[in-house]
Order: sequence, then structure tokens, then C-alpha cells
Amino acid sequence: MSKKTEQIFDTKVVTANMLLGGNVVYMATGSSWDEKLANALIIKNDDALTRLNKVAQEAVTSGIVVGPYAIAVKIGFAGPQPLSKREQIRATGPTIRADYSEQAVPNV
Amino acid sequence: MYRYDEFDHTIVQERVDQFRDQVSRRVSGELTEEEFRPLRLMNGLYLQLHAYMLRVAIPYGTLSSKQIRMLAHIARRYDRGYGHFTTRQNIQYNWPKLEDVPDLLADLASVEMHAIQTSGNCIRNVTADAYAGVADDELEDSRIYAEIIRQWSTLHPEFSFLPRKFKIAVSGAPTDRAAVRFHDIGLQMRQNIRGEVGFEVLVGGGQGRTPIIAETIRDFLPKQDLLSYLEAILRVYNMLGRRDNIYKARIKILVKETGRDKFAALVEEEWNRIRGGALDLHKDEINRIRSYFAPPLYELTPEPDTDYQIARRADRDFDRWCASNVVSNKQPGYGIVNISLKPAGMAPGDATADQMDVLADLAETYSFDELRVTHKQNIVLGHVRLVGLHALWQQLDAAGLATANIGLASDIIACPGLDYCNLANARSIPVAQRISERFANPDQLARIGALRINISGCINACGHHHVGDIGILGVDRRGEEFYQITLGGDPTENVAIGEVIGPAFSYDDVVDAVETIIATYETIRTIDETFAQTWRRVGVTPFKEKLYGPARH
Repeated sequence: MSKKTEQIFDTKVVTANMLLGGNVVYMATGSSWDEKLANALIIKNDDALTRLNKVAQEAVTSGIVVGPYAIAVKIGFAGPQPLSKREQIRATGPTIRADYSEQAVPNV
Repeated sequence: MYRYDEFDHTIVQERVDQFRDQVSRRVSGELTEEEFRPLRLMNGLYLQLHAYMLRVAIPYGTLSSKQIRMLAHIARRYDRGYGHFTTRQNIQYNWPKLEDVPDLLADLASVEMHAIQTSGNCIRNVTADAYAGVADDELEDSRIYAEIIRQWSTLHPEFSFLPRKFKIAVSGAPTDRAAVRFHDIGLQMRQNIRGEVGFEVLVGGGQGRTPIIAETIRDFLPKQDLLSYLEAILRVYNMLGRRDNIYKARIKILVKETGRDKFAALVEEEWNRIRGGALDLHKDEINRIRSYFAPPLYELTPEPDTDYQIARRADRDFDRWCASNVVSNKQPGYGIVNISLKPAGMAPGDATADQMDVLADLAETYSFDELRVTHKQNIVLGHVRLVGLHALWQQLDAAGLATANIGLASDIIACPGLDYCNLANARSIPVAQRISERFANPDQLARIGALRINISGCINACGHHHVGDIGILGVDRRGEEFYQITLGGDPTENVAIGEVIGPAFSYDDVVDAVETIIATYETIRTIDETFAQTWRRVGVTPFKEKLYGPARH
């Protein structure tokens, strides 16, 4: 198939920070927000993206999350992996010391 | 040290109460995020990559033991057991929760601290020489004037919505340890021909995406006119500074576009209109503030420092630490002790809560209960008797605080970078960690000599890369981290902006590139020449050739 005619859509997930805790979350099933990227809803087309962006804006209005946006991911054996370095670091915590990462100290 | 008066207490307490109310209204939904965001920023609370970040003001970097103990308590109770000291002599906490911040601010207020004006387009925390009051080359303690400026600028109604943030630094000594030439306003104390002490006023310096060296708009400003003159500068900036483009909104752009002479004329015109009024600084008021910074009760007949000399001869590590980390205090028998927050492999400027408690105890025992944060992200104990130095060093060593590297290759300035910061393009701290591990050998560090390596994770230059002997700027190339190297920057009175040396290096290659630069310098330096001196003598070519190969002709 020619690339010119193919609709290319980068697989995405929606991320945000929780209003109260500030922690990184991803939109998961049932309009919930989950700290684990592995549980994020995978967005595969524009319609789904529009729909989830709307859900995310409602979560902002109701004071659950702050600043939601979609990020590009690739799907690997371990689930979605962010393409950009920034989002990789957001997903796993600071790279400077293992005990500084979100995963090492969940919800202290 | 300055102690709050009733006005300070009222201002800070009222702000805590206001912010508590604002947080509760945000949580209840009464305030939208758009409405709340500027309010939280006015209280130093940012939302970063992983969490909220709170920046706490440390006016001119000076702290009491009680205050740093509170900073330790906050790190434990509301954060993850550590804090990050910044190039603006402040401290940042990387993990507070919004719901906890009102209580955190109340705890801070109990020790006369706050986060007011640590963000937003206002006059930020005024910085000063970290050796103020103890340096043997100073005219006067710059903190007296930094405190006067703090009082004038705190919640100043006219200057709460400037075109952009505004930073002021004060130096009381000819040796510039406060980078006054890279501030919106730099105040350099000078003596006039009559022997009076006043200020040379420099305006329009800064780093960021457009690095500019400040220009002198007044050679000598009498002390009594300090506030009226500052008010005149701020007023001209507030009226004429650009608000249409965030990248052109700093005063440096206004001064550049207007021209120094015209800008100075505008300031003088406004100043002549307002001088001699309520902002005049009377001697009594200066003396009142001066009394807070009076020298401590030094031992006037110092004990012979034989023990200290013996210890230096007997203990090589102690001797090395004294050579790099201790400088003379103007009071005979005393030293200024620099405590490095840059141990090999660690994040520059980070201190754990336990280390902060140790620093509090040591300041109490050895330095009249006072500490300073330096703009190089280290800690200073200003008044340490040489006879107690060996005991102090041993206790620092036990707490992991005795790294002997002040001013050397591993004393790296680094911004939080992409590990924390929302604006960053690349990581800074891990690059600093790798460089400091590469140059961890004390003999090697001593051989290389004075060297400033400064790292910023984006063009905003919080890591002062423009003024490093070796400056490293992180950039993003299609989602990948690259690092552009500049050479020859200098934040001191020998002021210079670093020169880009060539194409950027990858994350994996940047440390090797730094090593190549240092090895080149070691090959071509003359005996006792510092990196800066070699750079000034030979320029970019030898470094460029070693890094990229000979230029094609």
C-alpha cells in the first residue's frame, strides 16, 4: 500500500497530573486515571482521541486532573512505551536515583 | 541575621491563610485551574513533570540553624527526604502534594520563611555574595542592602505584574561572587573619590536564550538613593518593557533596543522626579538593618592555630579539603568554610534531611548559628575558628559532606533538567553525575585546577551554561537528547559569555567530549595557568581540533 493513501495514526495514550497529588496518571478504562502506563487505554484513531480528550476535559472541570494531553506510544511486549524521552522519564520517574522514582515510593 | 518585625509576620501569615483558602476553593471546584494557576505560582508552587514543585525563598541565601532544621523537617514530612538548593540561593522541593502545601507554608512561616515571589513576573529573591560580611575584600556586607531591597520589593503593588520576572544581585566586594553582571539589576559596591561607599548600577544582564552582559548606567549611586533609583529603573521597565512577546520581555531586551544611554537618561529623568521623597534611605534606617548583620562575637585573641597546622600536616585528606574548601575570613583566626553539595556521582545541590540536620548542628557549634546557600549550589559556614576546623571536617566527612572540590571540575552547577522540569529538553543531573564520577580522583582534580562546568537542560539557562569555562546546553533533536558545548564563559568581574565550539554531542558522548577538552587544556596550559587563562591565551582552535579534527582549508 502506498504511504500517500494510508492514514497514519501514531498510537497514543492520554496523560495528566492529578490535581491533589500532582502525580503522573494515564487515562484507563471507565474514565478512570491510573498511575501505571501499562493500564492506559490505547488510542488508535482520531475518533477515539477526540472522545477521550473530551472525557479528560471533563476530569479537569471536575477537579480530578490537571493539564491532560495525548502522547505518542509504541506497543511492545511490556505494553505501551512513550516515544519521547520526556514521556519515558515521566512514566518511570527521575533517572538519577532509583529511590527517587514514583515506582519506588508510591504515594508516600 | 535579620529577624521578622510585626509587618513581616503579618504579611507571611496572611499569605498562608489566603493560600489555604485558595487551595480549598480549587479543590471544591469554586476556582478553575486557569484561575488557580497564577495564585499557586505567586506562592512558588509549580507543576513539574512528576509532581508539584515548591520553591522556598532564602533571602540572600542566609539561614539560621533553626530554619535549616525546618527545611529538613519539611523534606521528611511533605517530601521524599531531600531538597535541592538552587542557583538563586533558594531551595526546591520536588514532591509536595497540593493538599499539604498550606500546612507546609504554615510550618515555614513559624521560622520566618515563605515562598512569596519565588515565581511570577515580580521581583524575585534578591541574591548576594555568599561571603558577605566575612570576605576580606569587601567594602560592606551586601546583605544589609539586599534586605532593604527585600523589604521594599515584597508585595510592591506597582511591581507585582511586571512584563517578566526580575532578578537583583548585590556584591559588596570587587571580586564578584554574585554574578552581578548577569542580573536584571546588578549592584556593585564602589567607593567614590571622597571615600564614600555607594553602588555602581548595572542593568540588563541575563542568561537565557539571549545572554547579555549588564551595562553600567550609573558609576556611583549614593546609598541613600538606592531605593528611589531602583524604583525609577523598575518604573521605566514596567512602562516600556515588552508584553507582546515573552522572549523579548526581560529588561535586557529593553535596554538593548532602547540603547544604554537613552535608557539611563529615562531612568535619571524619573529618578529626578521622585528622589528625595519617601524612598530616601536615612542613615538611621541603614544602621537599624545593619545591626541585624553585625559581626558575631569573635574571639578577639584567637588561640594559636598550631593544632590546625599540625592536623593539616598529619592528615592529607583534611589538608586537601582545607586547600579547596576553606578561605580566609577577614577576622584573623577564622575561616570561611565551603561545604560541597557535589559529591561524586550525586545530584548537584541536593541535600538529604539528615544532612540538613547535621548542617544545622554544625552551624550552631562552629559558626554562630548561621549558614549561607551559594549560587553555586553549595553551603557556607562563614565564621569557623581554625582551631575547630579539623573536628568540623571529621563530622562533615561522617555525613558525606566533606567533598574537597570547591571551584574544581566536579563542583558542577546543574539545573534540575529533564529529570524534573517541565521546560527541559534534556537531562542535566545525570550528565553532572557522570562528569563528577569521571573526575572523582582528588589528585586529578587538584592538577586540573579551577574549572567551572555548568549544565542547563534547556535554553532558559538555569544551569548558567553561558558562564561556565565549559558550558553544556541540553537540546532536543527529534526526541533525543543532545548537548551543545560552549567554552570561555565567566560570571565574575572578568565577565564573558561562552562561545559555541561546534556541533552538539549525544548523551553518550558528551562526557568524553568534556574529558577531551580538559585533556587538551592540560596539554597546552603553562604551569599554574587556569583553564580560563589558557582559553584567553589560545582561543577556540586547539579545543575544536581535538574534538572535531583539523579544520579543512
